[in-house]
Amino acid sequence: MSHFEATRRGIEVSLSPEERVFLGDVLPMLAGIGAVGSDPAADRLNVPVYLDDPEANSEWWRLMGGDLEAARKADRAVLRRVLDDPGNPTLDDGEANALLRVINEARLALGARLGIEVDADHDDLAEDSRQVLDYLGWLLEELTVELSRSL
Amino acid sequence: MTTPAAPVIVPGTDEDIDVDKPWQVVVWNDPVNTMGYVVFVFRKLFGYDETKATELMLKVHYEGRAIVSDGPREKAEIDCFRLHNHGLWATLEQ
Repeated sequence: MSHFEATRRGIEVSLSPEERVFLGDVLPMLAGIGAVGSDPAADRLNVPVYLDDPEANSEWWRLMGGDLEAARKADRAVLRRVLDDPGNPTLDDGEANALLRVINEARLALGARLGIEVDADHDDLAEDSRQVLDYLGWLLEELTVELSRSL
Repeated sequence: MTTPAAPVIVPGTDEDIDVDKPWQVVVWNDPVNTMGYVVFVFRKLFGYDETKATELMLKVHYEGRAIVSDGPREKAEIDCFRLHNHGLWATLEQ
């Protein structure tokens, strides 16, 4: 059974108590992402836009970086609201897309900190690390399927 | 996808300056993003049908990169923002 079910009011989210505890740990992990150059997660989430033009790249990040960080914080707030809801919350399309993005952000941050640089690196992960990534990937795929129905 | 504008020839110069040459938005392969998610993002952001979005995703996966949109610089920079907001690594080139 999927964690996400389309209803007339939106997408209903069902999480077990154990899943809530696990996902609750994701939020401080994302909030604690360090600076570019000192944290692989930050490096992955703030990749260059202009590869051969450092000046243009700096300008893009100066103009867009604040909005990008604000958008990410807004997405994380949706996950917070989902976890704070003692029942099975129903998300509208915007909220469900925000949840999708934050699940993906968590996978990217974890993957970067685990040193995944090529596909084959997945095979070298410790079992518990792979399980964490796979679990988030499972949620991601389920929600992707549900949201794709309305495209 | 937009159609590239005709080049503008500037008189009195030795070179044809193509001031309206479109910018291309390139998405790069990533070992963590899932295939299904990338297809979804291409469909959602650019309105591509599943076939086109899947072709682009496979090009990214097997060739390392694919041009997913193009247009004037302002539009390309916004497309880039939307892709980064979804966790895809997008760059701009002309």
